[in-house]
Amino acid sequence: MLRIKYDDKITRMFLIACLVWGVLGMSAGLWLALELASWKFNLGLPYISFGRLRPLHTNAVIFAFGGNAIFCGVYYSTQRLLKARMFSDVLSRIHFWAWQAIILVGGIGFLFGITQGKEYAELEWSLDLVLALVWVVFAINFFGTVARRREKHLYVALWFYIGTIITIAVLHIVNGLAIPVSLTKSYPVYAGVQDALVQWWYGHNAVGFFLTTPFLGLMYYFVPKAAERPVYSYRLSVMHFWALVFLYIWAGPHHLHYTALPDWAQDLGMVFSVMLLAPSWGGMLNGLLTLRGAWHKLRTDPILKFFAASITFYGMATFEGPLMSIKSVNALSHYTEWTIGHVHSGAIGWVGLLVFGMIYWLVPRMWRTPLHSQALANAHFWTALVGILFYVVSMWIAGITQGLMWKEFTNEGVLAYPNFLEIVTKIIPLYWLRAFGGSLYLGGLLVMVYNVARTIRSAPAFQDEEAMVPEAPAVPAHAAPVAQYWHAVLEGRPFALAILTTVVIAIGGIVEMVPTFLIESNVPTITAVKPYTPLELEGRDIYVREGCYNCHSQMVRPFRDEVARYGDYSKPGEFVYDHPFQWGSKRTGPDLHRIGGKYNNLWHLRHLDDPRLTSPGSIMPAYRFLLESKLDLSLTPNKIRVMRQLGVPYAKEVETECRTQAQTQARSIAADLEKDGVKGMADKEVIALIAYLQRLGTDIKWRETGPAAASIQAPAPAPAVAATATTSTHPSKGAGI
Amino acid sequence: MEEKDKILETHQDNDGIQEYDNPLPGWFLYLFYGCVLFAGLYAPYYVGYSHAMATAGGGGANLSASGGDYLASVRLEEAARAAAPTVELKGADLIGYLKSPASVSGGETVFKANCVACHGDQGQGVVGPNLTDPFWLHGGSPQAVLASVSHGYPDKGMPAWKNVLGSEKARMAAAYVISLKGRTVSSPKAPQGDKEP
Ligand code: HEC
Ligand code: HEC
Repeated sequence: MLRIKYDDKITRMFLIACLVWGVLGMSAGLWLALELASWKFNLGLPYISFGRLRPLHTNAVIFAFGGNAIFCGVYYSTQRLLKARMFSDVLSRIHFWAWQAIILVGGIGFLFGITQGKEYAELEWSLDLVLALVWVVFAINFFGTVARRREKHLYVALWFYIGTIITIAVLHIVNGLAIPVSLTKSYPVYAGVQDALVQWWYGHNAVGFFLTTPFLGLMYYFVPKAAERPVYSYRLSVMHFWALVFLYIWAGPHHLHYTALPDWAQDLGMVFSVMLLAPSWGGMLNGLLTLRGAWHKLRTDPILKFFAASITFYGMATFEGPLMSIKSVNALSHYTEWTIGHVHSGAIGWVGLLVFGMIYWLVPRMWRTPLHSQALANAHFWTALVGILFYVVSMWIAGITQGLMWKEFTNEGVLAYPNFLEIVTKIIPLYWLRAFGGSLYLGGLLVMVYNVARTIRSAPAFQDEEAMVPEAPAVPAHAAPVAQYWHAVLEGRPFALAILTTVVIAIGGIVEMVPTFLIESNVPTITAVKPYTPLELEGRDIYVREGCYNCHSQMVRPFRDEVARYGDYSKPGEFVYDHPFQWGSKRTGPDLHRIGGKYNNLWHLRHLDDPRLTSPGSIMPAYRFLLESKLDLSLTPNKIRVMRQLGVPYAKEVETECRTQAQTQARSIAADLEKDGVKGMADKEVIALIAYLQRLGTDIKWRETGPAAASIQAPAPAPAVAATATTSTHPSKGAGI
Repeated sequence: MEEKDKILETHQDNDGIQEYDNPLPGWFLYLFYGCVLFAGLYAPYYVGYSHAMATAGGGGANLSASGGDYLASVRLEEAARAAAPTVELKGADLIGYLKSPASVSGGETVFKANCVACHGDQGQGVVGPNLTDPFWLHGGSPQAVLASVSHGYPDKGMPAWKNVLGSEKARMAAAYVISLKGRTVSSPKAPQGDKEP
């Protein structure tokens, strides 16, 4: 018999980090909600303008709040389930501090516009690299503990942890591949359609393997602990684990329905998303039915209340998800606030409530003191619940309102609401309601922080590490569990389990990605599509830096209303030089793929200076600082060089001449503005942005031929675009003079 | 179900967590089978359907086959247009319409909602030209103004309004613009184009 100590200090550290980042990340979220309700909350500061603050919010909530919660629960439960102290205290500490450092540096970077411009993967290549290393540290620490375990059998929670560790590594590395331009700037190796596919394969599985599988693992540990009930069904856990990890990985393309992604990939994404309902509900059932026989405790025990509500939200969100993946539903729901509502029933319903329950359970055990106040914990539960309801319901209404208004036609055959702004202003009251719901939820969290702080303050003094000291025999290798089921064999062999998981998650990704990359007919070439001029490329980087993609899509779907509102629908071949793609996922503002040539340069200048000048009542932030800041061309040659490495067909000379080319084009736009009385803009950032906006979507001459003509009258496949294959790439193109 | 709530003996040492080995609820199994069945039927159906639409419409493979849905919706649009033909006014009818007070006051609403951002709240001109002075880039006759409003000059930043607002509202907006001629405004934009009497 051996006495060992668990490392509980690391659990306490992650727990506190989780609370701190939770407050910060959700405060940023609340501020964003206010920015949408009234543009004034942007305060005219570049750093917190909507497009820069949103990545901070999403990353802080997912990777800082969610991440620290995962590590807190994983470090606690893994040691106990394996009857072993963590493999290395040093690795645990490196993991902890490096994780916080990445978030801090990355978060500050977002405020300065350092971003890769891909949702939930905004961290630049240098931090991506550190992140990958930290993940490896975590993996070594985890599998090292597994190797030294004293309990042969791996409990279901651990399968989910293993699935998480492997899949997140694969996703992060494949999606993060990029060529650096400087320490804080890079271009992804993929472009356009491929980049979109890889990004949403990553994006959806960040939901699947960062916000679902680890938390299901935590559920399998903490719910039976708190309820003091056996897990409802072992068989169900086997079935839903494997089905979940296999099916999830295919579902990414449902973020790209009706886009320029090949249809077969969209259909696969949809079909697998619908099937995903079953394993998801398997998890929900196993969670809820474990609470059977403990329902009476729910009345008094806040922890069980949090767990029951969390699992219910999980069930709701995993029903809503497959529903929204059905193409005909998605036609309405995509780009609307409905998506935002959906993601929050997952994030603050399922994940948030589960984390709170876990923390209320852990704090008294980790600090060896009863919770300061049960009443406050109950109050937290109810405010959080009411907060979520306000949030989700207001976003449902807003999303469906938007979707219907965008699509409505009059009898005369024109859009009923041609002015996009009219639809924006219509839902502003709902933005206020959402902000109200969000502040309730954040308020509840603050109550919890207070409650936990009071508990910690009254905790007895610690003698270094306050670890429990159970007696645990080392398991002899032959003491394998009697194999009642075939699966039990795997449960004693963690490395076989890990390899099998890798194979299972690889299938979906390979089937979807390899053909999209290799088969040319998936992205037919359009000869008229040319690389951006150096100035336009700089403008595009400003677009990425300011996070315009957080409010604007660049993807006109082939629907009558979108073609009438924006112009000819987007073709796969138009994005071949877009590193990264900027299709966006939300239309707070109108689609911009066909914005080129819609307005003159002066309009754009005034609109960026203050959107209210041209669009009274607009909620877009003002970008006055772009009219003041000087355009920096020092990296342009590097950028062109990297683009050439990525296969963008710039002539070799462009690398040396790009600055002059950019200045010439800038002067011609400035000259046009000067005719309208605006002076001194030639060397300002705004010129590059205008050049980019005026170029967007103009390589295909749809304005001349008309969108319907371009697509309907073409008798055979290719000519629709080939017929318009003449274009000039002259630098002053799009200058609108 | 005699198996119900049987504790799995082999899994005793999960830090004190026990597991039942309950069978999966029947309705849940059917849900699972149902989803798989749906997937099996939907994929061939949808792929076949969109392929048929795309080839029928001539969109072909260069469009994502979603083009099929698009073509279908455009056909619906054409049918709707044919059912409700728009009235095109000509000659004296048109002039009468453009001068009528009802059109002008209707046009004011349209103008306030869609034009002031570029032409100013009094038509004095901002991004777009002053509409109250006698200078015109594209002609100041009622027909010319209507043509400007209807078809626009997209490359110069003046949208084509007929397809956006419909011909009725575009005509009203033109009527209002015509009524603006000669109005005195504060801070007018400098003249653009040729002077017309
Ligand atoms: C908070 C969300 C938000 C952000 C961030 C945002 N916009 Fe907008 N944008 C809007 C809204 C809402 C509108 C519609 C009203 C208007 O014209 O201002 C709009 C309109 C536009 C339009 C006019 C589109 C049209 O067809 O009339 C352009 C161009 C535009 N935005 C460019 C940008 C650029 C460039 C950026 C980044 C520098 C940006 N926007 C950032 C919300 C946003
Ligand atoms: C996005 C800005 C914008 C909006 C909105 C706009 N215009 Fe214009 N408009 C312009 C510009 C720019 C011109 C000058 C075009 C040129 O240079 O040829 C113009 C020209 C015109 C002209 C021709 C003037 C002349 O001198 O010949 C008329 C008439 C006109 N607009 C009416 C309207 C009406 C009516 C509306 C609302 C339904 C409207 N405009 C909305 C920008 C706009």
